[in-house]
Amino acid sequence: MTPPPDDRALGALLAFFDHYGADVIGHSGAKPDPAAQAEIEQFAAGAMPAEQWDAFFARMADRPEWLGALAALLKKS
Amino acid sequence: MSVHPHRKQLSGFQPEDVAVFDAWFAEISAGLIASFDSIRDPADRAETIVAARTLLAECQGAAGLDFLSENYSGQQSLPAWLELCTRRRAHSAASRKAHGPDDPVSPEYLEKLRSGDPATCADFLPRARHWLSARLFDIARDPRSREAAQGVIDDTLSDLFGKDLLAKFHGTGSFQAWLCRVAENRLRDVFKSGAFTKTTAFPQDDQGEPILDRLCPAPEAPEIDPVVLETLKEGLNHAFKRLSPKELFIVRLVTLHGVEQQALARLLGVHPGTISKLISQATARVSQHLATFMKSIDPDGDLDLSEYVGLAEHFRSALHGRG
Repeated sequence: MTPPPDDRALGALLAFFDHYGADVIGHSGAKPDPAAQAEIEQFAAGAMPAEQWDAFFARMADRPEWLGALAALLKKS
Repeated sequence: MSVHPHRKQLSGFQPEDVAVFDAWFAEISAGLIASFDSIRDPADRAETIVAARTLLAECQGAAGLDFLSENYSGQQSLPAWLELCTRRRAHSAASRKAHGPDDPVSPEYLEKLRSGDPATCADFLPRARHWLSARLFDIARDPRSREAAQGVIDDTLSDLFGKDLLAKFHGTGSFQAWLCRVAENRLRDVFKSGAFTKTTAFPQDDQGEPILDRLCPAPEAPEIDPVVLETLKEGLNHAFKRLSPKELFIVRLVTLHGVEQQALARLLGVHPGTISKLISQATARVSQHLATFMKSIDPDGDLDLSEYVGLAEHFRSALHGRG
């Protein structure tokens, strides 16, 4: 299915930004550390308490390259 | 003593503060001009210093404070902003020099063009072909790229009337610059995809593949313009900082990683429409903040979101190719 125009535009800008536009250059492809992996699995399983979400979102904003692991889990479920 | 005013203070300066500001400004002006001494090419250096002096003159005195209040967003230090503006202006000036001065088109002329007036069309086509050739052949230097550029020029001129491309020009800024940018984006798309538009007359084999693809090496990736690249990075940094961690989390998962909005909505306990709305709003805010930032750097620039997207895709593929 073709993504809507908003998704495509924002996706293209974010893809560029995440790889070349921010200070996270070089992290691309890095896997989450064990603690982060456990947290990601907890969130994907719907087992993370809602009050912990904001802190989790903030950590994921700092390490966007870890979102690939979460996306893979969400696509499987 | 030096003062380093923030943007908010700039608009609140009283007449007696102007002298203090000017003293501080003289300090950073000298630093800015000196920083361009490292530009190796003498013509580039001279062009950049002229741009810097012009910009600095616009920032002086009470009128300068108004100018800064209007254009400086305060997202970076004032010296850094001045440097970026200077480089962007020098770059625009060099580009204008390379592509010739703007060839103005009046609204009346455009109206006649829209109505298909034969005499105006006959006058316009060679003019436009000249603009587009100057711009595209500057990018397309090998024979194959030049052939692609020629195809893009033909398509663009034909689409102006056949597909009513002309109706998309909203009358802001230079018509010549707009048309050249449309054609340049099209050519970059051709380079990026490796595919050629239907009307590009390349000989094809039985399978419909261009024969030249086998005979000639692929064109080199178009050059990366460091000033535009740096400006885009700064602009995106400025725009994405406006999104909250939660918004970034959602838009990254959906737009970059292809996670279904329904799956994410279930997990977050919200209606799928909420996710869709959040993405639309995030796109609108990023677009708005990016445009504001770019205007502060280059007041003459008038790119829209799709053109920034095109630039980001172009840079990403070119940088990826180099890596």
